[in-house]
Amino acid sequence: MNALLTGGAAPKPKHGSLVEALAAAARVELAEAGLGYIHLNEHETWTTFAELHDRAAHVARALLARGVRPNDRVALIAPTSPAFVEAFFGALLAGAVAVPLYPPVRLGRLDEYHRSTARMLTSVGARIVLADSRVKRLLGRSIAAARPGLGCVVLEDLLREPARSLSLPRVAEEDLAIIQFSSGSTVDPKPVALSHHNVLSQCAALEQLFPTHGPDGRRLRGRTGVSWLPLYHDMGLIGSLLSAVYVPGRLSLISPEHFLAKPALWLRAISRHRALVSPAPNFAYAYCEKRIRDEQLAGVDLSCWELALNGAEPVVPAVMDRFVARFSPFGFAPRAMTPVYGLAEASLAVTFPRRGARTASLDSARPIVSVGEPLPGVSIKVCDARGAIVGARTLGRIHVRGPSVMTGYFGRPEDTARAVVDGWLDTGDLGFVDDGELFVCGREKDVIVVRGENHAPHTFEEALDELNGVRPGCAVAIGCVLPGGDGESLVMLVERAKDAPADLEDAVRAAVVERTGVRPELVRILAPGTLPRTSSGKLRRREAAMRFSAGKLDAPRAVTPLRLAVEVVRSTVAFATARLGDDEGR
Amino acid sequence: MTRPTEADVLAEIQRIVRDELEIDSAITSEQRLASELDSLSRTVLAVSLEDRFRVRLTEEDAQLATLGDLARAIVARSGARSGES
Repeated sequence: MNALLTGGAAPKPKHGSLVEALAAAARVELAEAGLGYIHLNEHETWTTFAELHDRAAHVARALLARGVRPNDRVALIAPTSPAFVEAFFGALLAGAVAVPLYPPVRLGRLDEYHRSTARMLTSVGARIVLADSRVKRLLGRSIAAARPGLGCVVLEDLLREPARSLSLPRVAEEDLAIIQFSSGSTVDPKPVALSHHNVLSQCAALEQLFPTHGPDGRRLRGRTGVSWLPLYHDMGLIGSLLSAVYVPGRLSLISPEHFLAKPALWLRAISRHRALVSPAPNFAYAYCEKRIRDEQLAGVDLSCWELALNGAEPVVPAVMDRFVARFSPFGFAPRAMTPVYGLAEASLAVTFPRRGARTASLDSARPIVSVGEPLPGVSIKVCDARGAIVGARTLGRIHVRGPSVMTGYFGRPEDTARAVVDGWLDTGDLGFVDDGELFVCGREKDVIVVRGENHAPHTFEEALDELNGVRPGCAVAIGCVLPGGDGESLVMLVERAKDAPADLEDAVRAAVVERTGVRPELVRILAPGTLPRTSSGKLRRREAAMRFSAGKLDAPRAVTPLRLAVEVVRSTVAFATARLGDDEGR
Repeated sequence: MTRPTEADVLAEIQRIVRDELEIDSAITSEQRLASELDSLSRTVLAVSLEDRFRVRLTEEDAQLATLGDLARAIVARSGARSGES
């Protein structure tokens, strides 16, 4: 048996575009389908999809009147709110491509935010930026740098403009719908372009997997979900919002920052609405287990929660177990915990467990949680370095094919050609297949996942560029699950300079938090020359990560005359054998 | 609600940092926001303070350097708010 898995026939999407999906949802009563927005005080405002459709059409006509044309990129920067959702569908109804970007972190520093936002706006060639009034005032520098043709417009102003009688364009399934950013490598986040067909195929496959009957065999009424996930992220946008429109079902939205401040809001909303589905990354399950107190859960009953999807970052078995133990007294069913695997380039999900969670391990390595079988319509193969499919229980690189695999990286044909070959997307993730299920072990691509968000390592390393006491260019950021840790955390491996101050570790931590908003869990100060390098002196991040994990990150041995002589002989031999003259290592 | 004093706000910040963020080290008004708290902690602090003191933190608050600056901004804003009503 080899490591090729197929998920069966792809279900045909019910609609030809997300625009049609919204029009269909608009014909359904609020008792069955609609969106609720939960405030910090748990007050909730509901809207029907018909109301959403009307307001989105208003936005679409206002955009057309301003000069937005089909296939133009419309960037959206706003917190979770009715205005965001109306603008998102407004862009689609205008035939444009919606590009949701993250709003600035509150009380955060803005330098890095402006740099990355301007870069993303430029890379998609945004024609216009839609923001809420609060965010717009902050965006000045990003807008000035990216210069979108039609500027930056406040969402509420668009809605207040008089209604226009422009007709809306026809949207085809192959038209682009969304560009979402992926930090799948060391370079800039890449713009993942998804067509209406890509996104609807994902929604159709997910719909097939959602349960229709409860454990007692009773048919479940309606589809109800709760989500606090950011709407600029695939799991929040496609997995929650667009799925709710597609099904259509009822979805209650909580803003991510309100969840962080009061995580009990999430579980209370699931209980109140008898929600069937609610997804979150691993860190959120750990966060709830730590932060929620019993008195916040008076009367809460989580027995309705059939699918606690767990994705977007590596799943830590101990965290799942602790969550189950902590919340089963409140009705949480252990079988509800559902680890899934996916990536932005595949729209969202790639696999889904159909037989309950189980773990396996290669050799005597740590146990890995199964992420299940491919979604309907999806094929997966695990390959060796030459691209040949490996056998079962053999580690290799995961490739994915299916209708929700991206159209490509927007405006980057070379990157696209590298990532997708003959329809197979190279995920850059490492894993193995056992008994028809996929197990994800790690990544070959350089990316650090902290709290469900992907970060390129160089953003952390650059934070130390001018820090006194650090050898210039001699810092490596890696992501790993530390012993007893709740998930992947950031580890900084830093070589000290000669004049390093005694409190260098604190200084490194402060510099990284200040620049990136992420706190390194561990800072290891190393003697000069400890980090592994290539022959041309470039740091080898993956090798450093492997040595760190194995506890073998050792300082170079002290240079004695004898050792020096041995090294000279060695390197002469190496030169002679390899005939390389490019050894400029520091 | 009567207008809070700077000490009230600082005490609340200290409580949030200790109880909600579970950071053990003592927090003083001179400490720098950006280098002390990660993005999650800053978000929790912002939302909790807004909720507790019924103020809205705005775009200018991204420029606040220290926890003391933050406390003063909240005192000033809660005063403006009660002045309006």
